[in-house]
Amino acid sequence: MSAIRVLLVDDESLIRAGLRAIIDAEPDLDVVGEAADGAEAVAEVRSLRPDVVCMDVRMPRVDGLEATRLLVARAEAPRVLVLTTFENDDYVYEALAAGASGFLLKRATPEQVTAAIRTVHAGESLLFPDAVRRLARAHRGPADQRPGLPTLTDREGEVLRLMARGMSNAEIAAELVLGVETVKSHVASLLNKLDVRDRTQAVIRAYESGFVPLR
Amino acid sequence: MSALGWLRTALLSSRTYMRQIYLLIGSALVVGFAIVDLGVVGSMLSAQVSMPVLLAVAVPIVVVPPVLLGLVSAVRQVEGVAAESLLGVGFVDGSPGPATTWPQRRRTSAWFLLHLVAGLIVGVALAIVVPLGLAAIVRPLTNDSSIWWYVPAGVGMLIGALAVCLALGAAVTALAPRLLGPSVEDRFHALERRAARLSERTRLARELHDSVGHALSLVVVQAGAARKVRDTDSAFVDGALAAVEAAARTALTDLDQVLGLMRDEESADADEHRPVADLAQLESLVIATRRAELDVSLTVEGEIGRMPAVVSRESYRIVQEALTNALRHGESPVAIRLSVQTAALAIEVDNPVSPARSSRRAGRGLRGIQERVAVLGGDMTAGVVDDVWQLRVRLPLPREETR
Repeated sequence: MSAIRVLLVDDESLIRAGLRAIIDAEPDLDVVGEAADGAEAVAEVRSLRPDVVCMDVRMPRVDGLEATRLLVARAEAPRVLVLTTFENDDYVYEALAAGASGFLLKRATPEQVTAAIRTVHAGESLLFPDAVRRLARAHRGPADQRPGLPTLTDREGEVLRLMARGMSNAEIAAELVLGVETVKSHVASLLNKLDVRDRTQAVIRAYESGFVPLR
Repeated sequence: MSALGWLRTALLSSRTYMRQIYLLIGSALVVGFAIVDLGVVGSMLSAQVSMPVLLAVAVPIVVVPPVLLGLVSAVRQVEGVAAESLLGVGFVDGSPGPATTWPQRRRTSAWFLLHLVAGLIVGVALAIVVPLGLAAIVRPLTNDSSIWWYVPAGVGMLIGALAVCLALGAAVTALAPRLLGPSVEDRFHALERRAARLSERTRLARELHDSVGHALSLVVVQAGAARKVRDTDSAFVDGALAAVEAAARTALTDLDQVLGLMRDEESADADEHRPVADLAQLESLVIATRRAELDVSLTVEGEIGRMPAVVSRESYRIVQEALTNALRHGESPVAIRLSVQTAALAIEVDNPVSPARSSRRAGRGLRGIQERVAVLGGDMTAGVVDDVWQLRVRLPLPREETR
């Protein structure tokens, strides 16, 4: 299996250098490029075709939120892992809602950084489910303005609830006594019905609609 | 029972009598106005003008002067101090200053009128009703027992006067904060200013949050990376350590700066933020005094810059007071000499005095200097020698400070 190709986007070169050292030390991860703002990031993604983009949210010129929107709109888009100093940053939730696959605190340990990149790349489980729930709670709209969900089958509903708890496909399969392939097809059908590109957005939609209660 | 208990407490409290004093000040003011009023009204009565004309002239003459006086800005401050010290009113936002707005003036004027009216009533009660009541009680006892009912009537008058005085004291005390204290608008403006300060503070906090958060993230990432590659890439580790050091230093500088700004704001609030002058500012003090056309010479021997801060500050104040004294009496030239000796700082101030003044001159304006010298454990002499006022101060210095 070839190494996961990573693009680092941060306006602080020392952060990029640090992350590069951490990531390059892993044999299965490979930093293929760096960018100092969102506009550069979009151009680099086009030429370098990374698998995962580690994206700072607050940057001069084109910020991480805007760059995430631009990146995920394309087919064959890389997964976006948002980098943030503070979890309580409004931009983080907006970036997740806009299509980022997860977020990572800059104070994470090197081990958490590399694990997060692998998780986001695999796309089979939600990164930091508790933090996502906290963010969703902080950004919850009034009850009468919540967007509805399309009709889901009972099975899909069960799968969505377990996704929100951070379970991987294999864990969901074990919980529901189903085959992993069956779970994968439910997930694919869910993403399709909800019109989102990965499970992070699916879970956020589930919270926003009130389908999965926030407590 | 509880009413009696209340009465007992009231009569035993010094505050009750202080309030009556406040009301009696009102009575005294009424007498002042009344002298003028009586003159005018009396002359009109003797001129036999008709009642409507009398009222049309007399009412404005009685009412207008107190109203106008109450509008004077300083009255608010005076009444505020009196209300605090005599009525025992505590104003929420501090003592009322001179009125600065028309609504404040109007409310002060209303308060002043109230003070006068209450003073008039208390004055009448104490100067007329009480003596009458006493006389009524005493009359039947001494000669004519057939008018025995004078006694309860007299007692009633005394109780009534007492009740009126106590009630008025309580009433003005309750009303003082409303008329002399800050109005709703004053409070609103104060709140607005506070809100502006708070939002500024929030902005500062957010900036601090961002800059320190950024620096600490950098520290975490670089330190984590250094740990990860320490066996394979020692050049990176060196760079990472330098980056960590620089980031932490920047963060501390930012932290320091923002805390400084917040502290400045706080002290600006309390109007306490005045730099404390010390001997470093002595030159400017001398130059400023020369501008006031006082001939001053300054001689400094030794390093006055390397002095304990407290000695430096107090020495400055001592020279300042000496110069102020000289300035007050216009006595030139003033010679100031500071010399740093082995274990002491010597301050000498000489200025000529006119013989006529020399006798009472010696003891004046020295208390402040004496107190400062005493606190620092120094000694001093001051007095007139051959028509020259001489101040000699010696302040001890810790030995290592003089080296």
